[in-house]
Amino acid sequence: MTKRTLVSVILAVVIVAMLGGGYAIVVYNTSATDSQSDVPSGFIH
Amino acid sequence: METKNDARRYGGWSLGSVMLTAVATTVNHWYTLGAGAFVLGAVLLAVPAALWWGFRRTQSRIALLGYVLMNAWIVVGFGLMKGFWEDVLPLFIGTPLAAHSTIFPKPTFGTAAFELSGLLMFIGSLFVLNYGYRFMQTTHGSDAHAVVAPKSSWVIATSGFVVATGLATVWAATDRDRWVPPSNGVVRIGIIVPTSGPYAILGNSFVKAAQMALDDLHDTTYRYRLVIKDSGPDPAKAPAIIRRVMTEDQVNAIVGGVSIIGQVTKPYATKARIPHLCVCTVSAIADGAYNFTNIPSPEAEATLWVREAQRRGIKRVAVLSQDYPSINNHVRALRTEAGRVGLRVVDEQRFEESVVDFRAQIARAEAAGPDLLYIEAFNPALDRLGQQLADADVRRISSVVAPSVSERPELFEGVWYTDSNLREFAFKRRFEDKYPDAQFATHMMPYAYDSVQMIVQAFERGENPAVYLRDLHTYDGTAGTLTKRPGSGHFESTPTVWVIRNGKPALAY
Repeated sequence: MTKRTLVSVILAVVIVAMLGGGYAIVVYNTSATDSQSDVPSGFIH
Repeated sequence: METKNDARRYGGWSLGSVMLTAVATTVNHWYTLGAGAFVLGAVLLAVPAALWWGFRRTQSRIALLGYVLMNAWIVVGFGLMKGFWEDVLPLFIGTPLAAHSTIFPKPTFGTAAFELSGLLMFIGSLFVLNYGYRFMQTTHGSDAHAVVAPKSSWVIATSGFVVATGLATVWAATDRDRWVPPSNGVVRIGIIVPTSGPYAILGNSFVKAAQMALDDLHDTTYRYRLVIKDSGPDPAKAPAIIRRVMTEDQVNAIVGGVSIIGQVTKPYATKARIPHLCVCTVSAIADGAYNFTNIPSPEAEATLWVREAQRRGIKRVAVLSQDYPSINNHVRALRTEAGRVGLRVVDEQRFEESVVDFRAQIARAEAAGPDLLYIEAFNPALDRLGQQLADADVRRISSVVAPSVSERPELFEGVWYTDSNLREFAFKRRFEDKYPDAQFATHMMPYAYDSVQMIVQAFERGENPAVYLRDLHTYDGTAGTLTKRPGSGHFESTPTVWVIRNGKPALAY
């Protein structure tokens, strides 16, 4: 494996980890906020 | 020759990375600009491509300069200022900081597609920067290989790391919520609630409960002033009013009521970094950062209701309720809890607000042979239904909240229901004595009062009010003891059982 290939692989892993980690954080955060009964808008209280 | 080939190669990669970053930018801006994002996308795709092509054909320095400026816009404007500052740092620095300490707000995120497109904007911009730089080097005739020499790469990587770390440190410092004493010693609390239209009665009572909370203050360090704004009932018109409250009145905190307005207020409170306590049931409002809700949950109401029904020996229930989101939510929670303990729902009917003749529905519910008829509606449907139930001599009735908002509570004489608790019944009497024309809606007024008092407590303790609310896990208020789980934005409270006695709501026990 050339150095260039190695750098490309590391870069790809970092990008995938970044996107995967970001997705996991957003999904966790959203599910934590909406874990109680959620109701559509348009009602009185 | 080699330099020329490199210029061609890096030029192609540079334009390719610009194109891909432009696509990510368009997707990201779709969520904020709507169709306008396509105009932005078209500019980001067409202009660099035209300039790049122009340079390739004519070697025009002006075309090259234009291309470089477009690259700079993409890298700085979208990659760094939006992608890195607004997405990467909140996601990967803000989240652990908020988990570590409440002085940092829990970041607010959009949809996964929005956030991921933000990350892609940042990642893409790094490629734009890299290939744009190499393209520039090769077009100036220098040796491309020198640019990518290991030593230079390490210098670039180290410099990038130092810059990123520096920016992350600055971001964390600005992300922290600090205590700032109110200017001139005056704390302005915005009361944003509809006081006109269909919510007028509730909204005006809400304002009076907030006013009463201030009237009860004595010997405070700061002076407190309510900035009362009628949001109106239309959520489409509310933003202009809320914006004025933020920019012109410069409130230090907001107490609001009614979920449709609370949902509109939420992003403004977050942007201004001030606490927003909403007497609302929509859980999504309560992010636990700047937005908090303060009202019993439908689940808490249902749990108590079912327990009380069991205590009274009820085994079969028929449900007759208005088709209205908050009511449907009560019914859904009640059905779940009833199913859990084996209480049978033998009939369930929903009706529209416009229904005037309930006789057929009452007959059907009675035919199912229930021990009790659960009803829930808002006026005018509520009192119409109450009258027809009285006419049909149906007395075995119960509800959640509804009888407390009836304009003719005598129709529901003897009916038991669950509603917010009161630590002292004297609070209700004091409110009614002070404001004889106002309706004391038990499920809202104590929470409006307590919410204002919580904000006052925060300032009197010299704490940033948002941080104070994040740290607050129990509060002894007029509606009993409120509790909040760590990290949650929802103050929970235990409802109690009420009964209509002598034409008025009274505590059952």
